[in-house]
Amino acid sequence: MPPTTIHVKATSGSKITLDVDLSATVADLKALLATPSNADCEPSRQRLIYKGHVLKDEKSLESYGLAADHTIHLVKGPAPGSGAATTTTTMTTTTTTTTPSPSPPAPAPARADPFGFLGAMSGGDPFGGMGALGGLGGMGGDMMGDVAAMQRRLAENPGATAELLNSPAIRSYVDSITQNPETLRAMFESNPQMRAVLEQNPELNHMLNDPETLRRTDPANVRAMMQMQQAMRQLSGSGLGPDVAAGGGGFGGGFGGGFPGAGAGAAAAAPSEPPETLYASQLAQLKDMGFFDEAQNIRALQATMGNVSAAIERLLSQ
Amino acid sequence: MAAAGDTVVVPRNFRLLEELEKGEKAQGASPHLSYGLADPEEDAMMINWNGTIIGPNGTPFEGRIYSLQIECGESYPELPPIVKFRTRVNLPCVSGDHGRVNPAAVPVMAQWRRSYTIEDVLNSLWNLMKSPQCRKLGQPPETAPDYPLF
Repeated sequence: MPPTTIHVKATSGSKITLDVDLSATVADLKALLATPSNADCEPSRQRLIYKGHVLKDEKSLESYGLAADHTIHLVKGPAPGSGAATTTTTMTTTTTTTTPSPSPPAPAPARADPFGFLGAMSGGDPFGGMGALGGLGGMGGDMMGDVAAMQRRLAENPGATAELLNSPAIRSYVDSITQNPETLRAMFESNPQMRAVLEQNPELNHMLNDPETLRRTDPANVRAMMQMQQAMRQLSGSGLGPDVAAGGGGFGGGFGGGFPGAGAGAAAAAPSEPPETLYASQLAQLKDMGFFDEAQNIRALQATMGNVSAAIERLLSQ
Repeated sequence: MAAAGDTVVVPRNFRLLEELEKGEKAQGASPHLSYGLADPEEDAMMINWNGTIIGPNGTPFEGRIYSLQIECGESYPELPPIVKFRTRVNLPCVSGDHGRVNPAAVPVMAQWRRSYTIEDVLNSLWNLMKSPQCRKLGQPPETAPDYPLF
């Protein structure tokens, strides 16, 4: 079996990247991690956690479903026999520092597009009719970032696209869009920029006229999605940049940016409001999650244009 | 899941797939949390999840790994997941008999929003462990038997 690249993340946040054979046991992995160039921690002190499981030494890595690019958490336990004091020491050796940054995703290849598109639609809830446009704005940061993650997932695993598109849940979703193409059209036509995109892309226009096209995932359809995504990217590049930065770009970000008053775009456009008012709902969310330092929360929200997920990331890394 | 053509919401499975990936690749911001599907082969509806919380440093929970069961029912994410500790713990929001987390005692669950995630729930439990009122709580010995499964 060819080696598979996985990551091991210590509680301190440092991250080791290494190649393993998935048929190897957890004990083998611990031995590998014990070397000074890796975690430099004797196997008996290592506790490995993956997908909410504490990994057992005798089991193989693949028995836990470990796959390429997945991450295992490492907790250093007390030295055996040290008895009383239970301390979780943090790891200091860092071989590869892979900063988990919410970087904008690379332009997604064609195969990821149909789904990225659907993701953006789901963020906007087209079934709410025109009122959905407002909702789309509200979703701005959060949802769009997630869409970007989904796009990455699909880009890395082309087979998953077809699989997902064929899953009953997605099928019914696509069907419901296609049964109501007018909503989709209304969303496009309500905005002059979007309308221009439609006019410049006859294939797109056709797609909206012919709901069957949406249902099929043939190459022409994929190309149409591609064009749409490119157009979106241009739009977002020319207009409301901050939303893309906060939301993660891609089609989702472009979509959010395309509508005036979308998500973080709106926040950035109205700097005169006090942050307490501007980010009232986000502040409430952070408080609910147990972040009680309001001043710190405001700073995090300001730095992330009101994106709660990004703000949490920031607060936790401080 | 609503029948096709019925009332359609943002697909639950779509959302859970995102959470799954985030968990598997540990893309979240929380190095002290881990979560994933309990039975990826059989559980096509992605209902049953496992989670772990690494006790925060400087608290009675430090150095311990708390295992949890998380059930994302069909109404997730409209409703919060049902959460249950497996590892014995003494927290005001956790039933001493079953390890069940009382949603009313966890702000994120009590004031649930659709955008909240499994990670947010685990994170708020971790935050509760750090809260002043929980820092003084005596904890069961590490050898205490697990709470029963759901």
